[in-house]
Amino acid sequence: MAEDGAAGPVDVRERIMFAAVRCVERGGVRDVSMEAVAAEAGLSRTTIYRHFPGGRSQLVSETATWEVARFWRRLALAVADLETLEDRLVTGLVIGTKLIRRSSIMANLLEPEIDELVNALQPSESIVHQVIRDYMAALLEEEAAAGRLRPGVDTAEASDYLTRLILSYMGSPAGWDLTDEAQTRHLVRTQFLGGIAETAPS
Amino acid sequence: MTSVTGGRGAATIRPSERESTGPSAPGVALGTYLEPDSAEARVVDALFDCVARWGMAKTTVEDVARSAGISRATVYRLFPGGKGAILQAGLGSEITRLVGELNRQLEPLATLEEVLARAVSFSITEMREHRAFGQVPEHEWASIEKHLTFDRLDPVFLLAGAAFGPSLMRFLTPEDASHVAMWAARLVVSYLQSPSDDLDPGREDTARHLVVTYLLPGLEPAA
Repeated sequence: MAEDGAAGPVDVRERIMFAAVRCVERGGVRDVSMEAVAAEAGLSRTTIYRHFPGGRSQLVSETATWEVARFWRRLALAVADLETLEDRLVTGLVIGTKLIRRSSIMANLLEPEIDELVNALQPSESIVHQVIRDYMAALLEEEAAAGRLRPGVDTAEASDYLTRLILSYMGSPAGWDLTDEAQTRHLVRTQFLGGIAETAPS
Repeated sequence: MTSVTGGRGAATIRPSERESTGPSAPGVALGTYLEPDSAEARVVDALFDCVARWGMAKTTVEDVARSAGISRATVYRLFPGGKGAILQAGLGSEITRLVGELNRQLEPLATLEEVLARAVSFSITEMREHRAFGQVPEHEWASIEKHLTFDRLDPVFLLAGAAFGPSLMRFLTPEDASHVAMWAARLVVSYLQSPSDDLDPGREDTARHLVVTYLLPGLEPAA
């Protein structure tokens, strides 16, 4: 099957993980077998085992982590060109919420039967937290340098706070429609940035 | 997300758009009151015992049934949704109990700041001391969350909003009260799931610092 150029799998390993993702989409995690992935990737079983000597469990675990990382990279890219911190948060939440619902891996995490994916992802949970926190810290440093933060904001602490809110709301919006930009902006202005950013002229 | 870069040659693949209906029945709604000594309460109790001993991931409905001294079939009759449904009922009744206890403590407190600081620190401390939830190691929260079907923790936050929101209505509009109550619940869950090396809002002064620094400024313009 043809692979798409720039965004497509760049190496065999990625090609295998792409195939594993497609197997998950089709039949859930339980349908992922080395044979099915080999067929999907157009590779031999031996090749799959060469790249994932730990077999199915290694493949599932690494694919899940890789897919989650890809999700966050895509989100960072989607907001990269936006001017303000508020816009980045609003757009990031809106797009992220929509993406989560489109993603078979992320959505599968919501299914009650699938212990396997969750177990596979446990170590990456705190990595996700760290990555977002570092990303937010860099953004807040820029904002502070530009004089757009409230006086006395501790950027390290504030970035951890924002990370907690981001992860919490993306996982469970509870009462907020985060696909609605106006609602999301209100949320960002109050709970996210109320104590962090200089009040934006409304 | 697969449609963006991985979609080639995918003609046979059903799009994975999912509606929020999810695969599982809602099970027992959070907040359901469990009659003490009822069969349901005994099953929930048995689940807590099993989780305390073996952790959430390793606990099976069999274990729960054995520990409650009833058959597996009876457990499923009471909780057709299985382990997740029992967990929901248990978490729901614990939250209801916790908020009830909390509200008594909050009555004499005069400011929103004090009320929220107490609510957050008290809830974190109570959950840490809980025989089942307190035993849950950080990494196992994911496995608990996953049993809370439907956008994972939504029911927990909505219940917190409904149960705890009214005690904030002497300071806030009903809408803000509900939002702020859920904000507090989010903090509690977040710090239980991923404790911070720097801040422990299980301490009242730290919780207060978070409330004053990050929440109150955003509320003022609306007030």
